[in-house]
Amino acid sequence: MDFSIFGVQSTTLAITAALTGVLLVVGALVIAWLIGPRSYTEKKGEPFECGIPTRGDSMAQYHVGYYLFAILFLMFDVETVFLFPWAFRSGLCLEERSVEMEVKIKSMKHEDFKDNEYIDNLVEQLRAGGTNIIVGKLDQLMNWGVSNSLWPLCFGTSCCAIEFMCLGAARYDMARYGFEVARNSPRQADYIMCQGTINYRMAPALKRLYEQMAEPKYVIACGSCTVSGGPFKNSYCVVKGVDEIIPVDVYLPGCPPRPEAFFYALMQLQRKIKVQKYFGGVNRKEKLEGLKYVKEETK
Amino acid sequence: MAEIQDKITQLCPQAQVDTTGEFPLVTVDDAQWHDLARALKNQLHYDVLSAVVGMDWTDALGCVYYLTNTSTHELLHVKVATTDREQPRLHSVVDLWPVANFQEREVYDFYGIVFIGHPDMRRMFLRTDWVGYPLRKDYDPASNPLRLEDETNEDYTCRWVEDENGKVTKVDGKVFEDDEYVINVGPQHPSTHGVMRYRASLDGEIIKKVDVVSGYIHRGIEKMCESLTYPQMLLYTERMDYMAAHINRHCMCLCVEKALGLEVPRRAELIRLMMDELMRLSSHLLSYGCLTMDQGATTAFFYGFRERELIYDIFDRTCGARMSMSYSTIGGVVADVHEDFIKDVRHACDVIEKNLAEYHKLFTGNVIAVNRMTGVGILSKQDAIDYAITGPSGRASGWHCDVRKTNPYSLYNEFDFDEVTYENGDSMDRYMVRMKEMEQCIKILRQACDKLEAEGIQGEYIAPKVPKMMKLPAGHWYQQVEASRGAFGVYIESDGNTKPVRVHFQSPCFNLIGVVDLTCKDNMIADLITITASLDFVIPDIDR
Ligand code: SF4
Repeated sequence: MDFSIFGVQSTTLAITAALTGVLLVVGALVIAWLIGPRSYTEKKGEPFECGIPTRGDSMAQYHVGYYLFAILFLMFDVETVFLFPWAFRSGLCLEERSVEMEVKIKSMKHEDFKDNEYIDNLVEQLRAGGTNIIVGKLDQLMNWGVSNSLWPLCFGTSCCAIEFMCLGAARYDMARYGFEVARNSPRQADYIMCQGTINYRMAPALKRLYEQMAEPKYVIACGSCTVSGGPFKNSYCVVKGVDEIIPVDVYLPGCPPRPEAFFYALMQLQRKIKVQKYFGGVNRKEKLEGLKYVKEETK
Repeated sequence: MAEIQDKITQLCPQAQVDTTGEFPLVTVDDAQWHDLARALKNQLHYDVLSAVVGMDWTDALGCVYYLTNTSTHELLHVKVATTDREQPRLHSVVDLWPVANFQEREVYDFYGIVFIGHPDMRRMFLRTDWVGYPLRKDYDPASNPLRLEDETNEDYTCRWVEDENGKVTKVDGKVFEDDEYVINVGPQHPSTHGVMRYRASLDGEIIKKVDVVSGYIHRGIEKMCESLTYPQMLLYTERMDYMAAHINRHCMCLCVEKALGLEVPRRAELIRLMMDELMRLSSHLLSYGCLTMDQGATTAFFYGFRERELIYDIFDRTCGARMSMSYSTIGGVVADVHEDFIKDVRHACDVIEKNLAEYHKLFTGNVIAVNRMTGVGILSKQDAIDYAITGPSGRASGWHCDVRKTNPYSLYNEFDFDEVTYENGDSMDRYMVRMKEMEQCIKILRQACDKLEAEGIQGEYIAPKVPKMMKLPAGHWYQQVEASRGAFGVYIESDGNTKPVRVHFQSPCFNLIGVVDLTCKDNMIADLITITASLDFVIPDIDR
């Protein structure tokens, strides 16, 4: 039966619905399954994300008050109360902002920024290997997306974390680069910005959090403490560099590094991501290892 | 001092009293210690246990207790030791000063001294499977390599009890009963302000008990200091409570200067004082930002940080760094202030003063803020004294404990400022004390600007000559200052060499975690976050 809604043919509607509702969703799932890197470990399957082993049974009986509280919280989230007063006063704030805008962030010269042996080597390797033009273009597309929306995991153990908070605040404002959505759950984060000393008690927690992150995942060792143990190198309980526990992508020295240095590290991470391959190669291998793990688990 | 000596000899004839040092020193045997402690508290009003310093004198293990008299603000310290290295035991004073609970656990953790009568003799900072006691002089660091397995048996605790005949036995216990509903918060959690971990036992939504698990950022600073010279040690003071970096460093400098008898130029002392107050401002602004953010008002966080950048700029210009400034040194400051320093400080004062009114308008009177903070997490004045809660949190309970007033150091007695106190001791009052204290900081800074202009010539300050090889005479010293979160103390014991025998940092935040259980009990689980945010602790300062 043919009919039309607002002058649109039903066949057109059906095709549109099929395209958006089915094809896009299924397509996204299939593509993700095909090319998305992934890893499986025992720790990744744990339900809790606070860094320590999950204990007990999550099927325990909850008090009904929790549900009520959760609903009420959503309804009256404190933030909404501020909407009106803030909006009301924004005229005044704008005036102040214009004075502050004059602050200039001194950044480094482009040549210096580009001067990174490690990444240059990576590019060299990539060129030597050669890539198919289509796959290469697809890789570029993926990398463009991944590198421009990097979400950090809020993982600050000490002093360096305060500078990271400054990065999120108005003056440095890392939102400009797509870094701003700091996540509290490792499963939603793309990289760990490891800020602050890691000691023997924290080390298993950090490892667990890293394993719980979804692929692709990156680590920035931020501050001398995470690079090498820094001022606490001689301590009886400080890990001498997080690379003893987890693989590190970018090392950012400083005690604490300045916010500008944070940006530099983040941009280096972007550069690194931009030369990464999704199709074939590394990811496939990881996936196979992961599958092996799953098989052993089900046995 | 002679008076004190007589009184103590009357109370306990076996005790030896030495009045030659900066504070009276009482040496007593463990057998008499508990009785003397009770008498000191009940009869001589030594109500506050300011610090417990564990010690290893190689021939003996023991503790130095620093007591403060609440009426005269005088300090006294008591030395108790045991020569048994295999099974060192002392009597606990938790029943007299509840603050000793965590303090003694720390000593047990570092030195292995068991406290008889302590209700919960567990490790404090180190892993439950840690081997040995790291602050003992004969500790071998190789005995504890990095382990990536999870910790086990964290639910078990023990007590040591003594019967009438003096026989000591160990009694095992559990932290939580089997049928309790326990929720774990942290160490990785956005609202614990670092890597803190709480285990809360719940009845419905009501908290029955909170077990604080600390040590996720314990860095062993005290042990490292023992192998460093005095100027080298200064670096660590800034990395404990990084929101009181200048103040902690100032304290360490004051302590070493006191021991060496160094005179600090007045201009340098003024500059240090101004840096301290700027640091306090910056710290309270951060605390405002975090407290509001924890209650969902993320936007307020940006407001707090906007003003903090002004202060960072001042530090940056004068010290060359935004955080970890390394500015005070033993004998003064490293260099004179930037030429615009006074202008910048005045400007920052004006801006912050103006914006404080805005903060109040936006958050303080808000009905949700009021409901979530008023009457929640009450800490009575008596509890504040018992648990040695100093700083803004102690003053919110009505206790006058500002070290700047009670034992003035630096140049504080030349300044006109008020000690802000409130009465109720709830979260709201703790928040308000900080807001009001910022006004006092501004008041002090303005006076200091005037004084600095009159004092010496800009750019011509020369740091005084101090000996290259700094050797402290044999003995021990204790210095307290008012850091952003309460009284911060440094204890140094020297044997006359370039390196100390023992350094102890008495951090205000360490005492604050002692009252988390007390203040959260019978409140909702959601209030755990507001209460701890209003107590405002910095985790590396707790763990050191
Ligand atoms: S690198 Fe320095 S500032 Fe950063 S966490 Fe370590 S000590 Fe603190």
